[in-house]
Amino acid sequence: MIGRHTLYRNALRCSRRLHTPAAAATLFPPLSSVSPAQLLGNENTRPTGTYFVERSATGNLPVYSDTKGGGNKLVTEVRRVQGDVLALRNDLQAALPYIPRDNWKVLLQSRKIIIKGDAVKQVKSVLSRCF
Amino acid sequence: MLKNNSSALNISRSLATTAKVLPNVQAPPPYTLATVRTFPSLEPVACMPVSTNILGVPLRRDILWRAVVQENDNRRVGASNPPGRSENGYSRHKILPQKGSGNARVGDANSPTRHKGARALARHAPNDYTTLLPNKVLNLAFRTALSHQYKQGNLFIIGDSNGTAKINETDSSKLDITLNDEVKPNFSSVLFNKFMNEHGLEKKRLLFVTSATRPGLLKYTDMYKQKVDVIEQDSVEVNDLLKASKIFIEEAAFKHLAEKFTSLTV
Repeated sequence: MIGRHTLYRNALRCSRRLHTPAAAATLFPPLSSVSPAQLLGNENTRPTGTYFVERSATGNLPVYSDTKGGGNKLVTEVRRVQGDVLALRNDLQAALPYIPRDNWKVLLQSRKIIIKGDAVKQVKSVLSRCF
Repeated sequence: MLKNNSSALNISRSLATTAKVLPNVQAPPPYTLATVRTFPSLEPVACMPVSTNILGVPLRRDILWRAVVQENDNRRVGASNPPGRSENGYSRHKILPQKGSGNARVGDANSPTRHKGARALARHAPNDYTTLLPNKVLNLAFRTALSHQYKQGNLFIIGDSNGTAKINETDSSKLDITLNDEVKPNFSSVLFNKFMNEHGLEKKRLLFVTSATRPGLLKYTDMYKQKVDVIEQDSVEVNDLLKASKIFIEEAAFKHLAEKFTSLTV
């Protein structure tokens, strides 16, 4: 008898495998095996405003807490964001309305979202529904 | 049975809500199409799907910076050889008596606090300035540099798609020029100049990455070596990729490097 929880997690894992770019079978597939929809530069495949968060090698979501300012300031970091970081921030803000707007920051160069305070659990709970 | 059904329902419900929570989720496309060309005409002969892990990596200037700094650190010879107290050359004789002069206490003239004194913490060449970087970061830097040049249209892959593509007689699937010393007139010697003229590459910094030693290419690019780099696949650095205006890379070398740079990504 498989518990409800494990079933749910297995289903999630399967969907995750299908999504992660790491699952792309080979680096150089034969041309015949690639469909136009899988190609970068195809207008339909990646309109601006879409994003993706890759899981780590161990299957965890890349959401981490960090201490700054000598250890008395907690921040939350969302890393490994592909695509539009600002769009992900906006959607996360909409999903987590109780975190004040001023607490959000995006580092465009390193493609990170920084949230003041410890919001690891909340962010992970949102992200784990999609990634 | 009932329990199973309800859990299945639960899954579908939770998946259904995903669309509402983050509406703009989309998995990135896994491949991009690269053109395979021949040398020296640069005529396209085939298309090659390449994983976006190699040619579709977003630009991360911070990662490139770390890799370039590490490479430049490792390139330093470290020839500085300042004298220590024992090597400075002055006598070990005490300059002033310990007491009675009214001045501060002094030892010998080699003291690092004195003018023309020795260097405190002297070191001996060769000094090691090498720094370390996680291989994951270094590999990402390589892929980022390749992707950036590809996006700018500066990356030319030279090959014949494993012999499937048809190639002109005057062209080659390798980055090489036939060594031609006896036959006259000698077209080989002007071939590279013509290649640069035809494609408007004069005064540009060119990088040729080969999968093996190419004596012909080395010989006939020697005249332009201020601007033209010919490097074998395993010696390429991030610096080389970033400094080049145009990169010409053999298909075999490209595949080799792609595998090398993704070896640690999971």
